[in-house]
Amino acid sequence: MQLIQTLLKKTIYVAILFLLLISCKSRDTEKTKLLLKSLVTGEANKIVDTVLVSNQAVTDWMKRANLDSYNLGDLIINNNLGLGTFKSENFQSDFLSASDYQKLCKESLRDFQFKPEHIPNNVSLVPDEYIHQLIEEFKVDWQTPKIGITAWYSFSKPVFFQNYKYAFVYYERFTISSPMVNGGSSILFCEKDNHGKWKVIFSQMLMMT
Amino acid sequence: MYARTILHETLHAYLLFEKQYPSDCDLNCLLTNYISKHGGNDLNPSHHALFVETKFLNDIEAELKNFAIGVNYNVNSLGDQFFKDMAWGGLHETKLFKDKPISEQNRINATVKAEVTGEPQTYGNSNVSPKGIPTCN
Repeated sequence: MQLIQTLLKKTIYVAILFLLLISCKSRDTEKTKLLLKSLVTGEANKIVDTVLVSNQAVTDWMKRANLDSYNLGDLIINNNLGLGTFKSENFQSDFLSASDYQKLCKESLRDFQFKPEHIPNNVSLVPDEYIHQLIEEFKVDWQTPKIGITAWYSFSKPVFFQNYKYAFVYYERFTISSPMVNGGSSILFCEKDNHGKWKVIFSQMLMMT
Repeated sequence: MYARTILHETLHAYLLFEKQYPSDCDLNCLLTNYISKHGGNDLNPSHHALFVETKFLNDIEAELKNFAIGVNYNVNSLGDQFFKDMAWGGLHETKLFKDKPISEQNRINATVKAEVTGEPQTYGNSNVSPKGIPTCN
């Protein structure tokens, strides 16, 4: 009888843990979708025919940004990278704790595949290889792709802090439109406002054309 | 093409510097307004809109012409339109560019692409041959 009770207890613990895990994952998915939606929403004002998001998260953004886990916090507090920084009006440089930075460094570099439920409805999730193929074709004929003027986005795995109040993501947006490829990349910190919308509060541009 | 690209990218660098270390109150305020309009996640659209909606486009054109004079191109035979069109390179996604008549967009695209590739280009009814040395040959 005691054995059955113990087993039952353990089963309940496992079930609760499982439900918690599922709930966290689904909250992450929902918040990721809202975050990415806020970042691609400006496309409505831009002149592109097709908007693509790479399904492969960027895992080497720190290398691309020439940063390491030690100087990332310093970047935000002291702005030591210099040019190309944007800060919102009420930006407070101490908004993240040391453990938040650790979380950022650990989670944002993880290999991650975006799924349709992570991205807004009006954009297409495509394999990274498809975007590379578009670039290779452009290098040959310099023509706008058959799918029209195309904007593509690549993101790192978004990381959320302080009960989804803040978020971090590496961001790339490029466009192919004959006769040129245009775009740039940035690291972004966002804050959720009272209406649940994500706003960029700090960005450091890494590259632009 | 080298010269146009360098002028374009230098202007980006100037605006980034001006945002960080304001020396011109009006320009800094203008930049802030453009960034708030176009978003802070990607500074390219703000800069490019500022390039074409203010006098910067004319500055690129003028400096490109000065460079051409300096390296002994016959600027009279190239004509002012060539420098105006080249100044639009990299700015073809701005609203102002898209608002231009298609024939004008075609002429600019053909001019820029001819200089990028070093080969004659056709966009719509615009046929343009390259006038400078290709960027990569």
